[in-house]
Amino acid sequence: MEIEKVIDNGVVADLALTSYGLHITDAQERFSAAYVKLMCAAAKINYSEPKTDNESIDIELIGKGFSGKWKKTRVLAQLKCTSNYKYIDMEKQELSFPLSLKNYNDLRETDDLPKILIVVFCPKDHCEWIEYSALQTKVRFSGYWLSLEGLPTVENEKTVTVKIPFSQAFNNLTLIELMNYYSSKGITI
Amino acid sequence: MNSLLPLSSVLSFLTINGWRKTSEIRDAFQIWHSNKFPNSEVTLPLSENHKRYELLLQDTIEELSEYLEIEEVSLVNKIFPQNFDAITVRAIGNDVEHGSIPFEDGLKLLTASHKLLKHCSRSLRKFKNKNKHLNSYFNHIGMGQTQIGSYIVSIHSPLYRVNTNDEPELFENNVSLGRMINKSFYSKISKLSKIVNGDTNPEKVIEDLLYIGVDKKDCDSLIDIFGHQSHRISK
Repeated sequence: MEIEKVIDNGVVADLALTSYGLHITDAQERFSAAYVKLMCAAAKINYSEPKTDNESIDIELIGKGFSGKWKKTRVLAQLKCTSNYKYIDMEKQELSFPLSLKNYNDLRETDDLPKILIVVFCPKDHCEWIEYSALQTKVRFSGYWLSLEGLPTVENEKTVTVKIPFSQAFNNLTLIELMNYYSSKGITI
Repeated sequence: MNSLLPLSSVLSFLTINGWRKTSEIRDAFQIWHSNKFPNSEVTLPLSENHKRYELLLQDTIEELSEYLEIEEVSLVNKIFPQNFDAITVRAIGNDVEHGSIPFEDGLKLLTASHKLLKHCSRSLRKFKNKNKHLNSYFNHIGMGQTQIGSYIVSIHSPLYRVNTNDEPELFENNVSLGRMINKSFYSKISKLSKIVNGDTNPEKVIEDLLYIGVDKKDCDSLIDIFGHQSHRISK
């Protein structure tokens, strides 16, 4: 087990990469789900989690009372989490993420409910994910969303790298914008 | 939901109850609204073969149940009436007041109801492959949920059909074999209840029972269902 020394108030503690029951990838998976649920709560948008993820869907975002043709907007989302700094291009202000071919193909379908990919980028050290003080709690770093609907088929064998601009931030406000967008896309007969 | 309701039945139900289709999205889904319930919205796929049909159907049932104030189970039956008759046999009396019944009596009630149904089915006049059809009917018979209040046994009797070309007279108007048995079952209990509650002379009661075709086998089953005390009989 890899141990990092963390200095907290002058005391050295073996903390950072110690496992308390969850492998880091499981912890990241839960962190990304918690991040999205946090934004849903702040946006007052409901969600449900499918019992199994065999269609690249981890969570369903369920809106209500939107003003478009589709008042109870629903968006399906695939969640990913990474702490790989190589995926970040500060110059282009974008996150590159290698998505499995299966996920890519599932998410580009257009005959399903709207589907998006949400990638949460977090520090490598899980101790840095949350910074708590008595009156403020910070979550690091951020989530970004991308719609792959209608993208073309690819010849790749295993993964497809998708690029998400930082402007596609996934937070409580952009979540409401996203739901409003899909709400207005109903076609009146 | 064990079996999915047909989409056409759901759409008919929506139309009958004042919902109208207002939008289609993504060439795959339809959205329905109601003037009476402006906050209500139903989203369903255009085809019941769509992979989201089950998910959206469940949401639709919950939505309609909330606005129409009908329990989900009842609503499902209203949308798509199940292919069985629900027979309820109710035992009443001091000893079954709180929805509970002595265990032995409960077992008797179940087996006797089953026996009586069997007897009713056998008393139907002969027809082609009668035994085969009756076996098939009894293989599909089900037990519903026991209901609260006195003690009520619920039986789901399938509306099993026999080819009417074989027996045009017996199965007139395409009535199902199941429905015929159920009618006979109901008729026997109903007549018995009238006779037992109407006359206190035992000899007259027996005479009347024989007259309406209630024989010893029926009586044995009926006693098991209702006990020796006539106060348990309920029409």
